Amino acid sequence: MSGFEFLKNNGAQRVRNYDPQPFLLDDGTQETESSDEQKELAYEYSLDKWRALPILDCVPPEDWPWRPLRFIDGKDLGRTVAWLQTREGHPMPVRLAEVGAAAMADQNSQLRREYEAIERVVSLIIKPFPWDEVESFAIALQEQGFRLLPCLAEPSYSFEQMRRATQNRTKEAMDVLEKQALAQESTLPTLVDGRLEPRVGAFDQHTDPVVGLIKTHYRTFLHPAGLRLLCELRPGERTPAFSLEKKLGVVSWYVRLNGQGEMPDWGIVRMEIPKNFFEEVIKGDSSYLDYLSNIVYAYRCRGTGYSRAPVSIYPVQRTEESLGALFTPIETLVQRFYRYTNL
Amino acid sequence: MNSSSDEALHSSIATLITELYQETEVEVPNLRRRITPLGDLVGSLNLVSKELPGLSQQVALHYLIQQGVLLENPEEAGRDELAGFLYANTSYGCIFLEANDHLTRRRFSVAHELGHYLLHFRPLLKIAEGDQEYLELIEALYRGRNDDPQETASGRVERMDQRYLEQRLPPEARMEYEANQFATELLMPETVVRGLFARVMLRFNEDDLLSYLATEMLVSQEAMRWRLRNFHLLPLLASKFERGKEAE
Repeated sequence: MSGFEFLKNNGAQRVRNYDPQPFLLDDGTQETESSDEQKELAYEYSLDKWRALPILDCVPPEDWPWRPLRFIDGKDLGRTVAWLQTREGHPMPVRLAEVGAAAMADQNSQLRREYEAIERVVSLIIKPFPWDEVESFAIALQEQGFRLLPCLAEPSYSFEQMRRATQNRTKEAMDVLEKQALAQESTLPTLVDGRLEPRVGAFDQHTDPVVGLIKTHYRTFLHPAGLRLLCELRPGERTPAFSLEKKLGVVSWYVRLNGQGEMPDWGIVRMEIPKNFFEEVIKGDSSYLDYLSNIVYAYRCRGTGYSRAPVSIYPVQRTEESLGALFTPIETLVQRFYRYTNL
Repeated sequence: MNSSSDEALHSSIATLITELYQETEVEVPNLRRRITPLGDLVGSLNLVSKELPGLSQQVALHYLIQQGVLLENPEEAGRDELAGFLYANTSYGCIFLEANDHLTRRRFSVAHELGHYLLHFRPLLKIAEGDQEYLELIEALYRGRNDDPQETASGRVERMDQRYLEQRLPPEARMEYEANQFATELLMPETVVRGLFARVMLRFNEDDLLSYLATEMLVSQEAMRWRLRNFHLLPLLASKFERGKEAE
């Protein structure tokens, strides 16, 4: 008996590609920024002295040693391809995805891909199914070059909740690949697309010059005056830095890259660096923050063809494109999966 | 336990596992097919596995009565929560599992009970069969916190005539240790673990490595951590990062 019969034995049905949920409702699928960290807003300036800090003139010297030379990005491209029914009647989504990460290095002003890793994965909540059927399914997947990612969520009747759990699991697999990409050369100044905390373990927070660039803001960290300042930032300005402390202590600040949007926070990115590195190696020198902000501003995407251009920077966009070129078109992958599983 | 008896146990378990694959004609795990086909092995030995919620000795024996395997429930059947339970007689064997346990825990429980069956039960059942004697054996695996073999709660092998067992089987603690060792070696074969480890060790930190290897072999991270410690590979991983620091 083929291990893929597990799907049919549990009433598998295909799922057509459907539009994702509206962005604002999609909170559970993205990396979350939990609220239990400690924050110190008066880190660089006392709260009464918060003001916009211009960075356009803060051009770092040519030989500045902390200019990011490596850029890391990850991708999780997949969808729910089928759903099963447990004996208790819970609908269980099966998510098929290709996850990957790449590192691009700036070599004499040319961006070259120096690392990439891609995996094909299937994510499923396995708890409600017979152990031997899941085992056979996992073996059959392995033989076709897929990894089964067991999802630990408890079964529920909310299909959307289950779907998000499977998507979070594939995203975790992507995070691991991003960590691998980062760990290859974390002593070189590196900019990562996203927060640093999920990458803890891939770099040394005391010595490695790693920068996180956060384009999507799920939470606000600022006080009311800080929020007002954020809305009033002009392109090429940054907020004072503040510190956030949880699993990893970071120093963070906002920079506006673009300004011609409709929303008040249009074109704003948040940057973060390890607090220990900033205090021990950089000795808390604010010019480091200014120089980094200036570099990121100079790298900003100027075109409008790219949907996230207002908050993106060219090297990250290139890394994303370079990685995307290595991916199998998702519908091709889905059809291959249906063929293997005879679904 | 001293290291020479450990070596002897390791060697006898390795032989037993080799014979098991030969007997069942099931494909041995390798670097391409990394998950132990435990279901195929159990099925090929004509053992049945049954997952029941709220597993206890009483629940398992009640099931056997319903199936017509047992005629009556023995007095004082235990009600303690179990992770696994093995019943075998000269013509039938069933491995029971707690249905609500996580899949990796259930697989470990099956492998543990299979260890008892092959190491302790089957030799006795064969002798009984040769003597045309009817023999029934049971083993209960109590619920531990997780499937870290070091933390697996103790089990107990029983038969109506307890003295019969005492004369023919090792002490209980020894049997439990042997069954755990069997489960570990069956689910995480040394060649596969070492091969995968060598392939990915330079790419991962410890947590990610454990998670990756555990997923690849469908076992828990605790069980994989224990296995890597067995091979002295976790200190090696730590020293990898220390070497990196020295090089800086």
